[in-house]
Order: sequence, then C-alpha cells, then structure tokens
Amino acid sequence: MKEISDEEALKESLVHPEVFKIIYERYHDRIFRHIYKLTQNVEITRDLTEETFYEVIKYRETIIKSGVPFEKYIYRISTNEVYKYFNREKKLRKFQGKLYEKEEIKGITDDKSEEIDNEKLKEAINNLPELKRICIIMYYFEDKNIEEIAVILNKGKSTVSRILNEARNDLREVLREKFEGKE
Amino acid sequence: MDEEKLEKKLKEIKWDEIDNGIVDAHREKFEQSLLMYVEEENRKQVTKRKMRLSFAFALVGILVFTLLVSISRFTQGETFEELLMKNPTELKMYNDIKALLPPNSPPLEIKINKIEEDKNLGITNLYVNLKNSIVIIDSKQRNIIGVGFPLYHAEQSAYRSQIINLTEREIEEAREIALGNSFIKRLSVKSIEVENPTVFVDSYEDNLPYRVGKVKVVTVNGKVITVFVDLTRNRVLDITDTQNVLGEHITRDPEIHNFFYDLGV
Repeated sequence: MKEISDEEALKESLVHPEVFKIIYERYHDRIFRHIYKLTQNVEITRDLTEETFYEVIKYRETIIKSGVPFEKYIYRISTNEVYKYFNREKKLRKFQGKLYEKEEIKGITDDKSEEIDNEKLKEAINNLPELKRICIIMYYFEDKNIEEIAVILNKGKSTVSRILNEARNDLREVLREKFEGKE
Repeated sequence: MDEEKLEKKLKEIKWDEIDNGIVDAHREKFEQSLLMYVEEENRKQVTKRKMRLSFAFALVGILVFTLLVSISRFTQGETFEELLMKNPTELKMYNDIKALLPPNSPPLEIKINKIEEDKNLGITNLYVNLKNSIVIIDSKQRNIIGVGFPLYHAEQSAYRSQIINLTEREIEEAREIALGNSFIKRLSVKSIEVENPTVFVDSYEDNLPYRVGKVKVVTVNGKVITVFVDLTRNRVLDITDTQNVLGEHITRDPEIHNFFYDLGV
C-alpha cells in the first residue's frame, strides 16, 4: 500500500482528525530535537514543540495552499516559534536588567584544555544574536545546508550565507578576545 | 582564533542532544490532547465555513432584492408616467400650462418625484413635479382614481388664494358633481352643503384658474365627509374625512377606502 504523503495526511486530517497522528509521529521527535538544539532548555522545548503543532493545525489550509513542502514548513514554524521566544526573552531581560543565564552552559574557567575551549565556543554561540545563533546551530549541528535554512527561515540563500559569515566573524572576535586576553 | 581553526572547531564540537526518554515521554503525553485539539479546530473550521457561506448567501440575497426592487421601481415609474401622459384631463392641464410658458422656457416635462404605495388602501400616490400635485392610482387596476392637488397649500404663500363667493350655478354644479359620485351615492346622506364663501385657488400657473368647491356631506350616523370638486373641469378631486386632507392623509375609514376603487376621473 502506498504511503500517504505529509500534504495528503494534512488535508485528510481536516475531515478525519485522527489522520493527524501520522504527521505527529513523523515529526514530533525531529521538531522536539530541533527546538532543543536551538534553546538548550527542556521546558521551553516542550512548550515550543506544542506551540508548533498547534500552529500547524491552525494553518493547515494555508500550508497546503502554499505549495512549500510540509517538512520545510514545519521547521519554519518551529524556528519561528524559537525566534519569537528569544525576542520575548530579550525584551524581558532588558526589562529586568539581568544577564541571561543559560540552563546548561557552564561558566568560563581559566583551564586551557580542549574541553574548556569547546565550552567557550558553545557559550559564544549561545551569546550570539538570535538569528545568527539559529543559523549556526542549524548549519553545524543539524547538518542543514544553506538552501534548507533559507527555506526554513523564509529568507534568501545569500542572506543566510551573509548571516553565517557574520556569525563566524563574531565568534572569531569573541574567542580571540578570550584567548588573547588569557595568553 | 583564525578562520580555519574556528571552522574545524565548529565541526568537531558536539552540541548537546536531548535524552530520548524525554522526547518519548513528551510524545506520548502530548498526543491525546493534540488530537482533541485537531477535532475541536475542525469543528471551528466547519462553523466558520458555514457562517461565511450564510453571510455570502445573505449578501447575494440583499443584492438580488435591491436589484429587483430597483427594476420594479423603474418599471413602475415608467408605467405610471405613461398612465399620466395618456390621461386626457392631465394632458390638457399640462398643455394649458405649456401654452402659458414664455417662448424661451425649458420644455415642461411631467416627472414623478416620489411614488408612495399604501398597501392597506391599495392605492399609490404619485407626487408629480408640478406644484406638488398628487395623482392617486389604484394599485391593482393601474387606473387613475383621483387627481390631487393639495388644498392645504391654499393657505400657504406658494398658492395664491382668496375667499370667494360661488354663484348659484356653481353651487348647484358642486352639489351635482358630489352627489353623482358612486361612493357618495352608496352613503346614507343626511345633509349636503356646499361651502360658500369658499376658497378660490389660483393654481399651477399664475393665469390658470383652478376653481374648487367644497361640499360637506353628513351621513345619518353623523360622519362628516368633505368632497372637493373641480368646478373648472367638472370632477371630484378628492374625498376626505374631517381630519385628513387629500392623498397624503387619506382617511382609514374602510367605507371611504372602497370609494377609491369606484372613483373615475
């Protein structure tokens, strides 16, 4: 029997709600992991994954009409949810006047071991502006190519390339300061 | 840190992965509520679609209704205009007016300014452009059953009027015209009196006289009915009760309503 496509399942779910289970089973884990990579926080990942699926259900007809492959669309929605979350957080931090503390990022130590370098790099990535951070994580840690990232972020390929370059420059700058400052 | 080193580091680095147990637990926990949400959302969509459809139908209905009413009004207007133009008395009157107009005046056209249908009475009042005159039409038969010219304007400056004495001949004529009317014939008349002196109305145009006699008819049960007669053209202009005057305020008395169907111009 021919396997039902994402788009067909989505369309069918408009009449038979139980068909949405196909979509859910196909994408839940992937989206959950994707969001976790971007947020590094389990609670937030749970919330944003749920939000993503709610959005998918609400905009099923728009998604079907858009012609964009569903896989790209759901990543776009989830990334957008993360982006919105980051923006909310940024505003809140500004309001509270506090520095944002990542859940699982450890502080910088003076240890020059390889492990510590990695931690510094992770922290530097996490401190990048939202869009740059999302691009770096998707490109290096989710193995998505520029074209895929462009579709997910609904931006041009050249824009994504530029954001990636800028992000790398920022990282180099931050790390140079850290290393040179210590040496 | 140079470019190459950074690139190498970025490729080497292991980004934190989430524990499979957390993912599985969330998948199982969230599934049921999500499917319920799908069901609810589908219901909402169906309701929304139904509402949109009803709204569209209502809109189309309103448009069609407006269109039909406009068409009907237009056709009705045309029919009435034709009716007016075919009526010899009216034509003669308008021709008289035309003859009195100066040579360079714009052509005089009869226009219906307003059509007002009274479904209870089964009549239609046509307000024509000449000095607020009203033509009363039998809605069913499409006949002119009365030609009104609002006498109450006689007391206003728009119409020149004066109190005059009718001649004996005119009094007799007024009485005959009133009594010859089929409606008045049906009534049990107790007394009939022609008002004298009465109002002489200089109507339509300055030099076109419109001599009106006012005949008061009292029935055996005490009802007072006034019959306005056009002495110039020997016809009944209108019949009213004590409170009402002409087409705009025709009495609601069913006996009088019946009259309009019998009335000939």
